Amino acid sequence: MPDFEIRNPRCNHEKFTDRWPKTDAARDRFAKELATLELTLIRLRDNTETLDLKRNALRKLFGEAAANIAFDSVNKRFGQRGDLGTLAYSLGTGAIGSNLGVVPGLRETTVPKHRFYGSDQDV
Amino acid sequence: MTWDPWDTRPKDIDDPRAARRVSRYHTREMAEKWPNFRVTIESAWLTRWEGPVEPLAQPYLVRIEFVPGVRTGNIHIPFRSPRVYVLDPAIRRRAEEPNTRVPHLYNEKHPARLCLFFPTGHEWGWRDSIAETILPWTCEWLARYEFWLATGKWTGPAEHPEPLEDNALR
Repeated sequence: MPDFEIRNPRCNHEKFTDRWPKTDAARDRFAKELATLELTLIRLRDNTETLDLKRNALRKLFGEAAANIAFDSVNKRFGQRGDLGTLAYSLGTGAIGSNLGVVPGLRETTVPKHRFYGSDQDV
Repeated sequence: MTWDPWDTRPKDIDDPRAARRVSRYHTREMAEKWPNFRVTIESAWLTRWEGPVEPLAQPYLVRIEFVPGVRTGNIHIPFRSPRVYVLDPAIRRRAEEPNTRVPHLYNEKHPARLCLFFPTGHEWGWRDSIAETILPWTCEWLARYEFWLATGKWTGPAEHPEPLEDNALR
């Protein structure tokens, strides 16, 4: 146990320090996990990886269900934007955005409405 | 988005001078709106551009080919809607579902050719700007592809009709 205590400022009878790692080894492990979390969040924020790699990173951090919910939710909103014809893109780079927070600072031009054509065979 | 260089549209442009005007129009538009693209073939019967786009989390190199339609002597090359190929990185199936094809492709073999619009739905016509339709649709396709790779679900407007005659797709 640490020789000090930190209480929840919104709930004074709750001591955060009660749940802190009790040994040095456990504290080291916690510190490493915290560093991993921070680095992964930076990687996710900096948009340097493909979406499937980002999803795998989220899975490792928060579990399969949380990662699925997060990605399915964004994907659904992305799809709705296409259905509504309000998806936007940036001339020159082609950055796609739709107020999803995926591409900050996008100068928006609306993508013309259309339908992707589909077949399960080469033609 | 629209352009009207003539009062009427022949079935195929045919006249080599008219075909060149069409190609020059698209080349000028592409240079203005997508300056990172370069023309790699410029002829009376074919214009080809290649360049980078970065729709979401990954850059791609894509190729666009446009045949305006031309007749010279006995040779007739009919008008053809723009074709878009992804040169790099190669379009791939999901690692989790290797037997499931990538959606909305005319040809999955590298370089994959994208199905960007419903060919018989009058969504792209000779008056439409490639720079303002085909390119943003390409970027949208790639963005949806990235989501599909991550989730296995393709969202957004799509059409899955009965197989069409080959000519209708080209």
